[in-house]
Amino acid sequence: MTKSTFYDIIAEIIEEDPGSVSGQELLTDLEGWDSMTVVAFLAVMDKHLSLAISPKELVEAKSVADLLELVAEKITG
Amino acid sequence: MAKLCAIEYYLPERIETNDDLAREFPEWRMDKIGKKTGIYQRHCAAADECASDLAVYAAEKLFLSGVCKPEEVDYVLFCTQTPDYILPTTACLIQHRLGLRKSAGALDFNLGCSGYIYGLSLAKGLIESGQCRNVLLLTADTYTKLIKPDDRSVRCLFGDGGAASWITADGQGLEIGSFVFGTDGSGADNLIAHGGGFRRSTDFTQSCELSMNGPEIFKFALDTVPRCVRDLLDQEGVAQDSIDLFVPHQANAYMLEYLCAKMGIEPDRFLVNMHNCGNTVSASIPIALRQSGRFIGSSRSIPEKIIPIGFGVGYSWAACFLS
Repeated sequence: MTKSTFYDIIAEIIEEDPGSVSGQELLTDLEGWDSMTVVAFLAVMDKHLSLAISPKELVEAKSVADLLELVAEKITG
Repeated sequence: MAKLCAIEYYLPERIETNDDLAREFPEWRMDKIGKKTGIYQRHCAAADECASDLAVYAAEKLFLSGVCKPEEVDYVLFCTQTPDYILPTTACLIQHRLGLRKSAGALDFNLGCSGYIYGLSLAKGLIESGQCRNVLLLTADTYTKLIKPDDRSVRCLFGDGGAASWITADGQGLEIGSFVFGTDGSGADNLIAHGGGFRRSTDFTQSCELSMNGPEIFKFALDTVPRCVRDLLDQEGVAQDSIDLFVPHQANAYMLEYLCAKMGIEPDRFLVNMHNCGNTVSASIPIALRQSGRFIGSSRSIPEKIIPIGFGVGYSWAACFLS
């Protein structure tokens, strides 16, 4: 998965348009990011990347860059 | 052979809608929340209404339906995590209130979202070992009493409810087949109410609030439910495609729809039915099954092979085969 696909998946989870997430945002800046989207992120990464993310690390993530770090091994460019 | 012959349920009168929550938490997008959780309202027990009351009302509906009589009950099993008292056993109070025979057995067991399946297992064991013929399985909880008023993310999920199931050695019904069980106490902290027990303190004025780590619970369900179902199918030697209806514990629609897709089951064979009552813990499976109209007594075609799956607090899980 590319970084831009990853950002578009984040946008989809928070119900924003593709391209609206640039990777620089803090999660607190994303209006739709809440406890349900955290769960959605787990589900979507499980589905697209077959990646079991640690919920503890996910809850500790502060920014979109931190989310990217959680799936870094599956990001190809 | 133990058979599940009838189910009735009761939901408390007071309803809390998502609009009610939106008024309380104006900054929260409740329209989106309803769409994601699949829950638009929850029933909440009154201050003086306990899980045992909900169970008793459900049992009375069962008796009124004519399917069974109080004097026929040989054994009452009551699954709850919100009992009337530390002691006595709430099932003893229920025996008296329902006017069951004094020769009937009665016990409580403490399980949450997996409780219904364990109740079916206990009932089957009692019947097929010849200890009794008719078991009244009651599953009820009032989790809303454990939730902190400002914990909106949990409040929008859990509702109160009670169900009564009639399991007998004879009669028309779904035969209770084999079971798969599972337990992992390492997940205990992720869904817990510390107060009211003896580990933390014997000061019973302490908080009894529910604490839930949603992402951990979600991951537990994603890991556990597909494996549990696969193990049961292998054990029964049946193909997933031959199952008419899967009835998962009604946690939230988002989780269930995701599980359904992950397991490759068509949505019409995977029951999601909690829009009007939320997650009612151990009562959720019988309520969903009864509400769906896809059970005995319905005009719709009745599924021949059903797999109910319970999973949650503990962690505890189980599934069984009904046919």
